Amino acid sequence: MTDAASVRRFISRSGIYVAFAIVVLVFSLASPYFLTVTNFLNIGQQTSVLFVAAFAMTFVILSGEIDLSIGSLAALVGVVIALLLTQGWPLPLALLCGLAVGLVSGLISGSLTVIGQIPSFIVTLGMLSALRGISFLLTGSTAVPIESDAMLEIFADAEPLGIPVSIWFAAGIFVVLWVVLTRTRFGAYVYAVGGNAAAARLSGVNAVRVKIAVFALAGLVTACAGILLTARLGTGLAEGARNLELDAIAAVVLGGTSFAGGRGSLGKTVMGALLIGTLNNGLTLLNVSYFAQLIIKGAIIIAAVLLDRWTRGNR
Amino acid sequence: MGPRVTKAVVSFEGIVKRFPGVTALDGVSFDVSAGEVHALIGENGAGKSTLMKILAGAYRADEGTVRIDGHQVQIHGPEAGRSLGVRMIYQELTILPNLDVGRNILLGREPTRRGLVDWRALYRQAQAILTELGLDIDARTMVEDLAIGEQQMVEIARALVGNPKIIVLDEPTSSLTRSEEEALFDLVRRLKERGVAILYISHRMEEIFLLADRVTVLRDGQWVATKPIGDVTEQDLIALMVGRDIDTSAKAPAHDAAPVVLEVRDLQAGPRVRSVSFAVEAGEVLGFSGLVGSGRTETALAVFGAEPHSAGEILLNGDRRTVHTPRDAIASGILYVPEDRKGLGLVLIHTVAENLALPSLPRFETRGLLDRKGERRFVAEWVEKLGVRTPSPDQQIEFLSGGNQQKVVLAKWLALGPKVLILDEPTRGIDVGAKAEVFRLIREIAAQGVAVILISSELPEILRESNRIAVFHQGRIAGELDAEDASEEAVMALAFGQDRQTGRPQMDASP
Repeated sequence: MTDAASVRRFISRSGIYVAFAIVVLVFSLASPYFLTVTNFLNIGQQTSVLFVAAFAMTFVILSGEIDLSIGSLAALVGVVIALLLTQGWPLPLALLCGLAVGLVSGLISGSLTVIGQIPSFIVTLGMLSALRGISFLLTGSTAVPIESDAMLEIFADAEPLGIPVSIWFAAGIFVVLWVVLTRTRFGAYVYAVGGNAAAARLSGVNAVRVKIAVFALAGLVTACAGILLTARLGTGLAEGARNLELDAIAAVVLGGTSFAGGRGSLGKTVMGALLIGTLNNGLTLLNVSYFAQLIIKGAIIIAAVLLDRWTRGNR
Repeated sequence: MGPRVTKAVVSFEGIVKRFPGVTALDGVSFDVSAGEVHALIGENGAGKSTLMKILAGAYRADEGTVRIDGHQVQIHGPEAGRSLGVRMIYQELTILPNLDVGRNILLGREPTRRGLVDWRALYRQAQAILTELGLDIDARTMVEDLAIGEQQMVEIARALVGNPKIIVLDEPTSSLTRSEEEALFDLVRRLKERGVAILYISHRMEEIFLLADRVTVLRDGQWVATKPIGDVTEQDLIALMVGRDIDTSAKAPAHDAAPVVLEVRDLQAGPRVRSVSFAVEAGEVLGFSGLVGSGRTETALAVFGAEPHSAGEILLNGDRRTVHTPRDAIASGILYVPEDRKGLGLVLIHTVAENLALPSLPRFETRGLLDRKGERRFVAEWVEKLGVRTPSPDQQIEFLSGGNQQKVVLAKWLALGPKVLILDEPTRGIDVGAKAEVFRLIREIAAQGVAVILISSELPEILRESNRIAVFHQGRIAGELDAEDASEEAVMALAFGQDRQTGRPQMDASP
């Protein structure tokens, strides 16, 4: 076997790790502040919302669908919680309502997609617009400050064992979802339905219910992302979490989860989100302008997928 | 018809093609003459498609030469193959349903005037080709409005643009009805008269004996024989392909009366199932025969709950069962192996293990979590039991042979302990050796007391494997035949709606 072939095989199996290592190496050489524990905790904290949103997206994409409403939903959840708190609702109840908004939104998207038989791209494109509109309507487009110190402390400021609490939440959500995906019947059905919905149905899987459940779960997880985001910002912002869905899709695809469904994993999504978070952090450290950052990020996402094609297509 | 003494249009000389770990072709030599239908047969993996890909320019041979009209040629890419007069017609249609017939036929070769497409000339040329082939199709018809058989004809018409010297037909009848097959055979004969060389790849012995002048057999990448068709029998060809004798004539063991397991009364479902009643006994193999579209498959789908039924009763061991979804059917022990193995039977991108365990997952669930170790033991056990040849249970199932894929489909149902097993064309696209194995399995399943329903378009297969045959005609069972006194003629007569006694076409009561 030639070296080129084995290099290619190595990259195809661990392309995302290689990409991550290169990015870390480049930034470490360019900035003395990059490769420090503090900075990496920073990256984790800044990326935690994206992590959670990307987990939600992983489920949806694995099941062969897409959810474009994730950013709008995260913002709406934050707005609802902030408003309820200003009304004097107790924190747990406000949080519960926020989660319920996520769940219901997911159920609506899922039902329209599966029972209404409208492509999820269209359904969630509509939801993206509608949910954002509801947020603006509720707030009159002013920022609603979070009137609960407990919420800020629990979801943003606390640092158990010196690690920012949002990282703990992202990790906790990861563990729960990982168990759901790899150790439960539902998880196996998500893969089966995404791999071939017709065959799954003929094997006795209730594909309709599985897909609706996936959207509902994604809505719930997105609500968690919305809570983390709102706590970090300290306000419920109707225009918050813009393009979160696009970053989440990028993280999932970078991780190597198949856009066609049925193939991929949550662990890979972690790497994809980490790569995006690291890029954001490193480029900012290097004082690259925001506009240039957008271009570089876009180029790296396309390059990573191209690399994946190249290594995969030649096997 | 014997072999004609004409010069070779295409000759393969010592073709070798290696892939990492396998030699796909190992010194294959034979030639195809002008005006000859040359059948190319062999089991899956024998090297037929690799050889055809070399001819088409998709692969390059590592050793050996291809000659066209006596000239040594290097074929780099499909366009090069095309310009040398090679045309491929694959099993899957490659015409575009959203364009009309004329645009399909001349796709990529549109006549132009001053740089713009000359539509009038295009339709005139396309129509001329259609007429030449004796096809009554308007060049302006949308392809999606044509029947599958007609689409196939358009595919062939497209191959005639330019100057074809050799046309390769790869399993061309796999999706055709009987009458469409006849039309195709006529077309092949007409091409032959024009002096085109035809390489005909097929698993179906009947067609080979009907059409071919000579036949070449490949086995494990090696050339085994090239013979005039008159010099060989079906048994000879099978023995040459497999490398050993396979007895395909032994009838299924007789069935002794047993309690009825599944009874269906007056089933109606969609336009294709008008009123169907039948019963299957434990350990019996009931064959479903009839033309494509006569309601065989549609009946099976309705009994399995995959398609809704509007009326009728389904009784299992004498009890009425409500079957609205495949889940209901599976819960009752009624299981279905679909004809479209790749599209409906399996999740191709998943592993052998994942596919095999899918319907059995509930049994590995304790307190909401799956016992993955138990699941792996279970998969290993069934892979072993049915002799699935796979490097590992974690192999992606797409890369298994058709026969081994079908064994996985069977294993996933057998693990549930079926009461009724419905098999829809279970040997489609499976090579001869594996076919025999699949039927051995089906006989074993029946012997264990499962009521088996076997749907097949191949008459010899259904006559051999069934204890009783129900023949469908226009959404009804036109008659049932005992295996002992059934013949191909009797089955076909019923399938075409002829009364068995009078031989006259039956009047159909409903519109």
